[in-house]
Amino acid sequence: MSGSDDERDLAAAEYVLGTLDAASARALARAAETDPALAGAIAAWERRLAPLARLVPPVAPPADLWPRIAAATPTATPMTSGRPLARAWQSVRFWRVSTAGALALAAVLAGLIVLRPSQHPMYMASLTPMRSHTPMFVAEMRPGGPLMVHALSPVTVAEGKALELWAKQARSGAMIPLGVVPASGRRVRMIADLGAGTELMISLEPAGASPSGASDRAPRGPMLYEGRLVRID
Amino acid sequence: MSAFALAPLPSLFVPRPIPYRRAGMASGPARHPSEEDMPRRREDAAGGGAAAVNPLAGLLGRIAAGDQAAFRKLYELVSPLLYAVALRITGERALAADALQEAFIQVLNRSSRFDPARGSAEAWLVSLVRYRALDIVRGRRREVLGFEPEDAALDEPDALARLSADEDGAALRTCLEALEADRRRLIELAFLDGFSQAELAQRLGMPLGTVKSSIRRGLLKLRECLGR
Repeated sequence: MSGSDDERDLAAAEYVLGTLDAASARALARAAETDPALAGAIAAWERRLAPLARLVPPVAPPADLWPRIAAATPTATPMTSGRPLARAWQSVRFWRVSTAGALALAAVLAGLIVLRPSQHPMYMASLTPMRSHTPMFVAEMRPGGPLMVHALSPVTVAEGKALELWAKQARSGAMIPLGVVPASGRRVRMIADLGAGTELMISLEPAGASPSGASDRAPRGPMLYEGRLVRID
Repeated sequence: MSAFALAPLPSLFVPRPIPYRRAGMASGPARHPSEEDMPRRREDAAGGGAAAVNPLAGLLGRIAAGDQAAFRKLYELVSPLLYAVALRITGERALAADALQEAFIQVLNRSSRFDPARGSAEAWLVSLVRYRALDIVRGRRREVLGFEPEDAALDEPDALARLSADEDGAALRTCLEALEADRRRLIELAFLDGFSQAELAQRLGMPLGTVKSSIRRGLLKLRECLGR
């Protein structure tokens, strides 16, 4: 192979391996549509590397996946033929877009709840990632009441992991575990007797390691979000 | 090497119970493909062609001819492998299911373009799913907190036995084992987990330039070793 052929073959290999960035990957896939030699190089690398997939133990797909595929492929089932609306309803993209819309709406509603004027003094904290100013969780509390925590945008947590809320005691610096925060963005109540200036933190912990009354437990995983409770009159 | 030399791939799927299920997965009994799902030898012998050697290629041919039962059969045979591949890259069941759905729609639309003389049906299917899964993770960046690839599984005897199940896989295994450990690990993690070079550099604590050149040297060695 000449130098430039080698370079093209390596680009094909990196495309198949998946290490090209999104723009380069798209460009190469487009080029292959009109370049049989490049398409051949890609096919050759697919064949060389594809057996690697077998290193992953097989996993049964969810039971509802086949019905979804059958519904989305008119030739696989006569049910959806000639019903564009039904098809749109079942398409992956449709659901992704509508989910994004619903989440945006949820964030706005969460904002309204947070900004709603209150007759009582309140304590609030917005928890942001360590190196960013975008709030991801909001915590609010009335004096003596429970601490309410909710996520502002969707957070995905790997299986076997959980997000856990902690309060850092101002005087002793001790970390008090407050419980697991659902990543789904639901509001959760956490019983806590905290005051202004308390630093709240969320760490990533192994699932199932949440405290069962053991107040001397220390966080094991990395701290992801932090914020300080402030008094709002 | 001709595509006709491939061992029957579904031997991978037939006898093996699914080794583990993640918590919260669909609880219905998984339907394991059985011998009855395989195209019958007599029919294949009568029909001749690649189907007798490689049922997946035979199914793709029947799908191209509009056979709906073949589409369903193909799904039953390969979805556990393809779903595992997509799950590993996306790290999330819903996204893996999206990738599989999009890939199977493509299978239906493109089955006539599959040419058994140019490559294995399994490689073709795996590639379709991987590209869809990679599109999804590239589109939304990897935002799964605490997602860790299960490296340990890669060197399990079971995994290596699956890899060597046919001639292509056995050759790849031999050539991977001849690579330097770092290069082999980079190639395996890139392929299986869909990590970009930057993610690999961060994860393995290696300079980006080293990751890039190691992958390229590893790929060149693999090509040389595989001799095709």
